[in-house]
Amino acid sequence: MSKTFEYLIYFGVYSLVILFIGKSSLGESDSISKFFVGERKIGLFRLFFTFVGTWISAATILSYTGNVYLNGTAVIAISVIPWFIGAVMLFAISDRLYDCEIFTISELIGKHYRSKGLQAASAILFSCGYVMYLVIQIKGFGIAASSLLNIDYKVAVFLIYLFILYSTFGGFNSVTKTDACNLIMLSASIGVIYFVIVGRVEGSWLLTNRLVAEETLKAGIVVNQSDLLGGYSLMMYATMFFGWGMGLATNPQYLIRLSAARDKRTAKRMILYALCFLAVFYFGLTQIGLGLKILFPHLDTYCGTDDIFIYAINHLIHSRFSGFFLISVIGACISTANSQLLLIGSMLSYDVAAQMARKPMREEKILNLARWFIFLGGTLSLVLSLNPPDNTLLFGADIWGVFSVVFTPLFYGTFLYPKGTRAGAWGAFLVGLACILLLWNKPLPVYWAFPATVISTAAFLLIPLFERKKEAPHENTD
Amino acid sequence: MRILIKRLEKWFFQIENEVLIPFLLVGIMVICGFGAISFYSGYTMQRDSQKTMALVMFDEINRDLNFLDDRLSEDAIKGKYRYYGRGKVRITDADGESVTKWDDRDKMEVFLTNEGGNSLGWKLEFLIDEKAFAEEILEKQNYVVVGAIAALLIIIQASIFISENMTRPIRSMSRTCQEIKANKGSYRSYRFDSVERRDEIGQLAVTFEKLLHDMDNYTKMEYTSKMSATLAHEIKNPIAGIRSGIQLLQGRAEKDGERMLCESMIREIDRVNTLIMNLFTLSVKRDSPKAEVDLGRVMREIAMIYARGPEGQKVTLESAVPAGLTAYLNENEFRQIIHNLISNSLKAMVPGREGKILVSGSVGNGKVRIVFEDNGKGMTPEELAQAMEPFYTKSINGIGLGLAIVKRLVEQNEGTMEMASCPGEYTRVTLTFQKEAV
Repeated sequence: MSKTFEYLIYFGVYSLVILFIGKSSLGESDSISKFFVGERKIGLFRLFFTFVGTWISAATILSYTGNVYLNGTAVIAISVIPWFIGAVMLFAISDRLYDCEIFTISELIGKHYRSKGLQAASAILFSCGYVMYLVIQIKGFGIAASSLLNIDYKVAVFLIYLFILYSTFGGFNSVTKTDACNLIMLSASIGVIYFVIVGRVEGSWLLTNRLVAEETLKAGIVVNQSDLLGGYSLMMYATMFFGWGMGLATNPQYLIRLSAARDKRTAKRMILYALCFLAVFYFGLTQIGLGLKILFPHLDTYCGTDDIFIYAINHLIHSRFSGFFLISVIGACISTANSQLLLIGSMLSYDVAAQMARKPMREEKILNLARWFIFLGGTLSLVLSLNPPDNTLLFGADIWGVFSVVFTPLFYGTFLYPKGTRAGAWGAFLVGLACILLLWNKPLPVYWAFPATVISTAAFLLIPLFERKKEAPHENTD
Repeated sequence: MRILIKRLEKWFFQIENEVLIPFLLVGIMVICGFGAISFYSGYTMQRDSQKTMALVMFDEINRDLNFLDDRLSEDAIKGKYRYYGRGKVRITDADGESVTKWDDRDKMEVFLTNEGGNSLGWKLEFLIDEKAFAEEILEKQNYVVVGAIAALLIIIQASIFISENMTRPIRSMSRTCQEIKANKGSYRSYRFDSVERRDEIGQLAVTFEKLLHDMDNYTKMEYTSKMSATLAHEIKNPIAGIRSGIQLLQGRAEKDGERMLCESMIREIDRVNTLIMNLFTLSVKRDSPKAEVDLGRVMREIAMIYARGPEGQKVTLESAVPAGLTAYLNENEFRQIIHNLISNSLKAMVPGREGKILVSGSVGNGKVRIVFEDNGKGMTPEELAQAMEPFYTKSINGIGLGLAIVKRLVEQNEGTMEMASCPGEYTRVTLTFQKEAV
């Protein structure tokens, strides 16, 4: 059987599975509650699958592994550790978030600060961030699909339409079921590849930077992956938390899953299980990245960072299983993409269109609007993904950095600073936006999102103080 | 296993699947047909290309053999061609011995043969690997195959969405009906979302809501029938006995107060009797004898009864029904219709305002039209919608059967009844009856 034919079979079977899941979920999305948060009845296992499924994106599988290949375990410090700290913060606010009984995070902000404008503005900003972030998923999909089907990348990315729109139109239940299917496939693939690659490296089952240096030296290549900080300053490392870490802690993609849980306990248990699973998963990916460096030390000379993993599996250690791996990468991209598309749809329809409408909107109309926004968001991302960034891990950190700057004060202020005011929230929002425009990717000794977040948080805290001072003389005169 | 089969059956036999599957089959057939044509086209092109290559190679070899025939020995020529043809050409000499020595050619199929094309009498065969040939077509048509799969997926997804969208209102109606069955509450409290649709499903939903509304009335009617039958059986005869007894006592009473008490008791008994008769009228559907009745005459007689108007009320009843206006109906029932309408109008009069009741009649298109109009307090649209339902009343004394009885009697006489009202101004009842027996 030819490789192309074999891959086509994988593609066909996967498509049928997604079709079946989508069809079975369509009837479960006839109300806002069902469509946006699965009626807040999601049990532990489904919640676990959808949380982890949306976490593991193309940035995780392709870019993280590619970066480990290039820079060794130093990548853990700028990505995995911030992610995990962000998840711990989610754990900390999980109960209070659950009590709010919200459909979207923008709704929480809008209700808390009693501002429909702020609700709509935050929904628009979140949506713009997701449109940009979706580029990473579509790029990952494109790389995997072009290798799988032997077609050009720019043609391959259009195939994502076949999956993301369909699975997202079915709402939260469809997304969670798709996530479960994709995560099972991906876990199986990574597990098999881990054993294959580590098994091929003779002498050790635990690969380290030192081992990579020794093994590659034998092949006449000098690799220096021993620097823990990977060439960055300590300050830069510490402040990079305000990219991936704080971005994750303020990200509706994860927050809404906590809100969709059957109860508070389920949400908290799910985070713990997810972190345990992800620790094992990242260990596997790190070992694969290091193993690839030992086995094929020259890949970076003709592959981009994000292409290394797929190229190795598809060409250098090809087997019948390679098609399954490529499909599971596609699945991971779809899982993250459809979660983000659902958020774009829900926020733009519920937090923007419905709030701005003169008359109260019927649920059916909001749902139809949500589907239109999903389509528009997906199309916009698709157009942007025709010229994607080279290193999606750093690009993704910058997008999450935007969320960190604007929503750290707005979201955490809701729970931790009861004296926060509407003016303070607006101030933080606008100052945050200005800081993003001024500092984005500027050469600074710290990660750009750090000072921006500090300034927006300061605006959030100081404006209420000024308001109180202004009111105080009036009170005295009274 | 049986449970699994049942579940599968339940999943499969859904209206959504019944819409989806034909769509799907057509889509699959079209795409497969397109794929087959495309594959055949690729196959033909590939075969033509191979054929051209074979002919060029045959021509090249034959020319060379004809040229070398006079100049070299046959063994020398065989030596030259031992590994010729890039593995695609098999050459056999005139004795049937293979000249080319490729090992793997046994696995290949003969695609084209050339005999007698050279002076040595060698046979040339162009070979192809069928499996590699088919795979090559697939590789070359990769985009077409991916396009076909994508088109198929789009068709399936579109079919799923369309069928889901088409059947959603039906499923919703089905769900509502199940709720009705489970709750057994007031049918009219249920609402169908699809009533806002403009298509046949919307019409169906509207009809369904109307049916539920009517069903609520029918349930009340059924209850009324049973109740009135029991009342009639159990109460009517004893009450008649009580009434006779009281009349007897009234005759023997010596004091005025005792006689007045007896009169009051007889009035109350008559009221109960009327109630029972009304319930009877409402619950029992009779096939009443009909005849051509002069409505002008009947209306004049009724107008005479109400000429003085009730005590303490200034109400005038004017009949503009022309003499000789006849309709095919039961006279007694018509009288009861008019009495009930007048009774309702009197109750609806505004205190301190001169009451007017006007009854007019006309004929047209084989129908007789009686319009009954008063200048009472009228009804709001909501009150009007419920006015003809049994037991709907706004009066503290009434029990809400008057208009329900009118409706029943009009229907019994193959007529129609319409009501219009404006709060504070008027109420108009339009009755239509057959002019003649059909």
